[in-house]
Amino acid sequence: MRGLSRRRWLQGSASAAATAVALGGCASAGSSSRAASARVVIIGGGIGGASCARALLAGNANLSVTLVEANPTYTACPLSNLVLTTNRPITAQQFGYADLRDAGVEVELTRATAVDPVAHSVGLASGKTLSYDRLVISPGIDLRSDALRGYTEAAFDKMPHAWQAGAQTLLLKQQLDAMGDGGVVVMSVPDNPYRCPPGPYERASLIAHYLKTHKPRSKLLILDAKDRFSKQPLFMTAWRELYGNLLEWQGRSSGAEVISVVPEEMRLDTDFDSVTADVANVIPPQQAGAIAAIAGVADTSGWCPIEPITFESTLQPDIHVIGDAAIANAMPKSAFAANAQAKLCAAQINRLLAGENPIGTTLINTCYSLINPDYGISVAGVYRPDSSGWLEVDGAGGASPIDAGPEVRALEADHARDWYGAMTAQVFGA
Amino acid sequence: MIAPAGKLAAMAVGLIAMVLSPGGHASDDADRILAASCNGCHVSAATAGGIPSLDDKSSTQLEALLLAYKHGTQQGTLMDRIARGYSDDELRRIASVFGSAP
Repeated sequence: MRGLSRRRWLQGSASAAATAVALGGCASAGSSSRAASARVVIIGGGIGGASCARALLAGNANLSVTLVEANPTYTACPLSNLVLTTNRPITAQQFGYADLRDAGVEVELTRATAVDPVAHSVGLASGKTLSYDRLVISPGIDLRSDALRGYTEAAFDKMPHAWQAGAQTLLLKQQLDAMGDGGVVVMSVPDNPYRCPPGPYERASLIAHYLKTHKPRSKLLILDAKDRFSKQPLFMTAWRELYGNLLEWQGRSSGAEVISVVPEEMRLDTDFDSVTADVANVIPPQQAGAIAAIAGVADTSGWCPIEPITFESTLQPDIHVIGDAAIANAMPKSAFAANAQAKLCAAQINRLLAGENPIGTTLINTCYSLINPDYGISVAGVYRPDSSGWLEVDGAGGASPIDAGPEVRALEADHARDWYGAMTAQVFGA
Repeated sequence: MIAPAGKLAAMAVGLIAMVLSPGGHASDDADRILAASCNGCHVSAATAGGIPSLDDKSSTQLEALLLAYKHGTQQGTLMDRIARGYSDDELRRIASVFGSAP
């Protein structure tokens, strides 16, 4: 888009401009009708896509913003481990798009099936085609069904991943509830990168809490494809203290990487051993959501390389990738990061559409994890971009103190819930 | 969702609109972009669990708080870790975006 030199004036009197558009734009000069016609399409209505839609309109009320999302109800992952292990209802994780519509976002509840980066258009399963000046792809993750032998889509029901919240969360919960006291729960955790680095360990903690409370003769075995993980000293200290022998973690160097599964036998195989589970939670390797590959913005890793400051794809012009799908280097794949990236990407798109240069800045990530419902820990990071990507600022960030008392742990558990409330309210207005 | 969340939502939306609303010169835009991560946690009203609001304080108060977190004279569960990632001037600019008045 060019010729938006009067954008600031238009934005400064957004209501006047909106009135002009409502009246057919008859009173305005060319620039206002062009401003009104600038079109951004966003694929993916999770935290990243929905945040971006709202921030784009907050920055330029004249923009046409269309959000494409296949599912009419979004089910958020953060805190979904409480649904799995406590009486927290799944509805506490669910949000619709009415408030975003009220905010002026056009919402297309259908699947995006095609992207033409040359024609600048998106094809929808409904048959419609949307054209864009800028496209934002925020598709989250897909579970790879080719990476772990035996873990095909048919196995998802037998050995749930529950790494996309919703039916899978409820299925795994049902299996945990149906298991007798004395059962064996096995979790398989992938190597980096994957969605929510501390997530598997929060889940392990809360499953252990559930077992300790309801089925204390049971055991949880975590088979990990790596030796180091997020907030490891905090998790391991708390595990020893609270769960003792009920929870056992084995890392890669003990040969614990799961290389294949046999769902019919509830069997998980490592290089040296096989274990049989009563309940198996297999978190498989992941990649960017399928539309990223369709649009040609994913590389051979399955994730999407970006220009750090703008989150614009390095593979396709005028397409931005945010959230879990993007390669944001030191920034983790988290809801907080997706929200922060979305707001930055929106601001840069508004600047680019106005013919202005993008602005470098600093982003934050904060991730809370629950060891039990009243015991919270956190990790934070501060990130700056250089030409190679997003780097963590030395001397900042880090995890909760290892020696904090129960009051601090309880406070951080409260903050975890409050963060979730603030974030989802900000994004979905629910 | 329960009623207070609805109220929270309205205020949160107001806050994001404020942080990202256009107008002014490029440095204002840069300040807003710099400050945009903050309302990943902080919304207009303090939360029940104790995450404070940013807009019931003046910019001067906020700047002093952020500097205190950064330099270790104010204890926090998390803000000390975050504030250390910013220069004093960046913290001043962030405070200027959120504070109710100088």
